[in-house]
Amino acid sequence: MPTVATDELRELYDKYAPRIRTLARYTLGSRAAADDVVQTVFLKASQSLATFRGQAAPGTWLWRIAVNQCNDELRRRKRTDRVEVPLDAILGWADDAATPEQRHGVKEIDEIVARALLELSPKLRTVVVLRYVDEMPYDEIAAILGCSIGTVSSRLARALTKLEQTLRPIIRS
Amino acid sequence: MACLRFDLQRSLPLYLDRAASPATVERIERHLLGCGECRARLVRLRDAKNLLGELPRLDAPNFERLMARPAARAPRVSWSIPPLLRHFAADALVASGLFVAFTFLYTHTASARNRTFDASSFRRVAVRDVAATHDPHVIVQGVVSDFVGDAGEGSHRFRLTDPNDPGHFVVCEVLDGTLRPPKTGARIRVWGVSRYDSNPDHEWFEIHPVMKVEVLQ
Repeated sequence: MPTVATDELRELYDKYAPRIRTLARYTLGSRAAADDVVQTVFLKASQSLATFRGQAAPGTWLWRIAVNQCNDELRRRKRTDRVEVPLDAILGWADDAATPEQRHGVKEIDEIVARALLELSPKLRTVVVLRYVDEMPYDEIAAILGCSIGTVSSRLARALTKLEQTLRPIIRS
Repeated sequence: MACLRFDLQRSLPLYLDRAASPATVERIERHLLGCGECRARLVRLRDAKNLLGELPRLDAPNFERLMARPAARAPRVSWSIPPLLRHFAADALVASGLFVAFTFLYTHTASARNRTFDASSFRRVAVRDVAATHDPHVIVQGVVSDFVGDAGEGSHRFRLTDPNDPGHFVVCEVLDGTLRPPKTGARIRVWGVSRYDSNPDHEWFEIHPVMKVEVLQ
């Protein structure tokens, strides 16, 4: 697959690759899958950078590719059986731990929160990661997902409510 | 009582993130003053938000190394039908099949050719009176004088004349595959639907479609 490593592409990479990798990591649940997404996004970008120029903000364009790439991967996974450790089991370990130190010894809170994110539907997961992990403004999220700001807020409300229910043992401790 | 202000509930993240318009902020704050449920909801949303905010951000992998490695398996997603749509599509396919089968049997079987109908709804009308009748179902008797034009789509169209008053006629149209068309000169009685054909080339009264033909001795 030929690539055109222009300065412009490199600039885009430095600016967006960490954020896209973070989105993919929390959307797909692993760093390896996130690296695949970053690679695919920038390979696609290098191939169509010339035709893309001027059509939209480069950030929006890259984010759309990234979100679609993550969704494609999730759809692909849906067709194959995957055995994962149930979230209840992870939370159970955390809940049984008497002190925060012990709890951290069993499982990092970050990992539990990241695992709880995977319990959300892909739609809610994407929006909540863009907003509260990447801290992207509402209007940019709406532009990337092709929906209104009200829809972004509505999805966030649903996502946060579900996350709070799932993570209540951690929040209370 | 459960709070039903879903319009405000969906805007709570905007409020929490200080991204709501002043008007929305005012509406939410006025509502929060009197709604304990939404105050609790807001706290829960904030707690979840705070946990997410603590998640570590990742660095970018090395550009050269990442782009130089073999390309990740491009996740090609074949087009798939959502389960609900697939369910309805299967139903629609069965219904379409039944419809086609029924239509075929209805129009092509021998029983269809001699299909019985309720003769009591038909009223006997003389050829000359077809123009004046308001009855849609009529029985008309006469002589087949000639076949006219090309009715198209394989139908047969003939002129039925009153032997006692040759100046009057009615055009009868037999849909192809339903009845055997009579021969020219035959004395017949037809059952069918009376109508006026306003086509400028026609402008005649007709029995269309003919539903039954009886050859008289």
